Amino acid sequence: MTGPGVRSVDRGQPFTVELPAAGTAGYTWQVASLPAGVQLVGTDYRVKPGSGVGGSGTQVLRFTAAEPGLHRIGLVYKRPWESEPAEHRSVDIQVR
Amino acid sequence: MPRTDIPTLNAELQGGHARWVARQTPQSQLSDDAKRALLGAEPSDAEVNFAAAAPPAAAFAPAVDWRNHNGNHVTSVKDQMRCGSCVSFCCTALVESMASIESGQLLDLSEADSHFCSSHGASCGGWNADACLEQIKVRGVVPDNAFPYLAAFDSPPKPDPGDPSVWLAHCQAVPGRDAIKVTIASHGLIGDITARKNYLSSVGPCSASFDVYDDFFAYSSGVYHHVSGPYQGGHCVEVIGYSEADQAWICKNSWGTNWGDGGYFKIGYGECKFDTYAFATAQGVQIPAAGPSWHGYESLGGILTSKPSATSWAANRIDVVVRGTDSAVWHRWWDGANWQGWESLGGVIQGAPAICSWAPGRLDLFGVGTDHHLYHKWYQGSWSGWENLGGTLSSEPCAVSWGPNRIDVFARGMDSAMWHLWWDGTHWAGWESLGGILDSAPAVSSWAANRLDCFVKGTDSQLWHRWWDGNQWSGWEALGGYLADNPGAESWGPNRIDVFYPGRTFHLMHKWWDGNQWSGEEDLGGLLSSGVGVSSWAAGRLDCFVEGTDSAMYHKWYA
Repeated sequence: MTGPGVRSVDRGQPFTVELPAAGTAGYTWQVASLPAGVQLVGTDYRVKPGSGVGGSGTQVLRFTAAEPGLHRIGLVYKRPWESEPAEHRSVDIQVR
Repeated sequence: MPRTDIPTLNAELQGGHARWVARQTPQSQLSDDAKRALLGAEPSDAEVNFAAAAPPAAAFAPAVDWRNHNGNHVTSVKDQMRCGSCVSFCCTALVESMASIESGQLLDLSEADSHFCSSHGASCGGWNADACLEQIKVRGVVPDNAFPYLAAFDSPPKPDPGDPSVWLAHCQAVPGRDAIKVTIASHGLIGDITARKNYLSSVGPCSASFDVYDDFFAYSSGVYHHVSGPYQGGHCVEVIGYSEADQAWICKNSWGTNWGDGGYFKIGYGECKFDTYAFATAQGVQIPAAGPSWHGYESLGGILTSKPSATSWAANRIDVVVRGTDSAVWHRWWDGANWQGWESLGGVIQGAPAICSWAPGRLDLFGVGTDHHLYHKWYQGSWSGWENLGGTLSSEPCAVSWGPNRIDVFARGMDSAMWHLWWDGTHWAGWESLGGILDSAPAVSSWAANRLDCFVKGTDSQLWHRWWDGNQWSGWEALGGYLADNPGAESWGPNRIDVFYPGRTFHLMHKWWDGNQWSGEEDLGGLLSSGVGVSSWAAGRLDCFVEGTDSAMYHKWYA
């Protein structure tokens, strides 16, 4: 499954990938594969306002990339205690 | 009062080790009256009394776990899967626990009915426990087997286009849900910590909401407290106990048994706003009484060459007749304790016999002979001989009695019309033609004196109905359905008729009149090799008899 097109990012500058996630059902986006020079520097979560107990939100993954060129970050949507992902997603970045 | 002297005030604050400092503000320079005008709170009596009320006295045990507190009152760990339905999982779990505590009943309730068919709406969005319990109180929740959780999603489940983080959910209407729904009489909220423990100690579990952080996903065992990771949102779980020694609440989660400690966890008092959000409680679980249902099929043996015909002269008595391999009439009967027979009643008949009864101890049997005439034999202490009633028939007969000394017999004639013969207490009257073009033998029922309801398969294979209302015969009414063979009909009381027939797939099909409308087809399964014979000994009781694919007689009953 491909991501939302190729994104241009600046070398060394943090960039974010935002994806819908149902945290209180246990589902989060996790890194499956990182190309050389790309680092996950943090992850946050934004609950949808007014979504009630159990409501979902948006997961924000923050990366930096050190190597110029076209790279693909592989993500999986899964519960940490389960082995099978519910979804796979790729994010393609063009590092300037 | 003189205007506030700020330096003096700050000196007093410093000397009293106060944790604040003062400065000149527009408000500090107002007159006393102007200062008072900035105020305005007038606590109500309720607010004053609430504040003055003494906190509840501690009356709780050192530890409680409802998995082992006068028995196990906690149902199994469930899994909400990719859906924000935790509120319905924690509330149905709570009601299941209360049903066990209050009446010893083990329930398994439909989280899907609670979350997707209530005021919440069909989505995997969040909710709150108070609203969920209010819905269980006013509209109830059905058992899980009436609407299993996975039946709410597509197969395989699809992401919701409006929120791809969760699955797309659908409500499924549950036929007859009013008869099977479980409700609660009341629900409440508890805020005070001592009150929570008092309740858990002496009444039952609660549901609790709290803040989930990323590190909670990795919980394995012990007493959880938040250490790291971002906030993930609000979650709801069932609180099944506490431990003063551990200073922790004991909870059942809804993330399956592979998470945590077999699906359970302990969380420290005060952690993650567990003690900030109120606990929700439920009381007075109301479970519907077990209603009537279909039973069978049971094999009653024999080797049949026709459909059975049945009648009942009293409670717990059924008489069934069939044609055997020798073309004679064979009789089997239920005497209240056992099935008796088979007994041969002789004769050589074409098609199935018909049987009716006008009183206990009386049976009237009819069959079509090889000469196409109608023959009659009766039981009143002993069996009579065969009596020839004439006619020229092209189908087996049907017969009914609406009272002592009254019999009505119907059959198809050589012209394919329905013909009627009746005993009025002194002589046989008829044959009268009632028209129609029949593709089967007729069936007849009667719900009262002077009322007859006849049913046939038409040339279009649907069910057709004609009735006598005491004054005249109605026209033919089409009732739809698809008949593969002869129908059977019975009435257990005024304004009630039950009709049965083999359908397109040779399953037993059922249509019924309840005084207002026709319902059905209801598919009762089975694989029929004949039409249907049916009797009833009381309102709410039906006994159906058919020939199976092994030529034996099979019995299915509603009680």
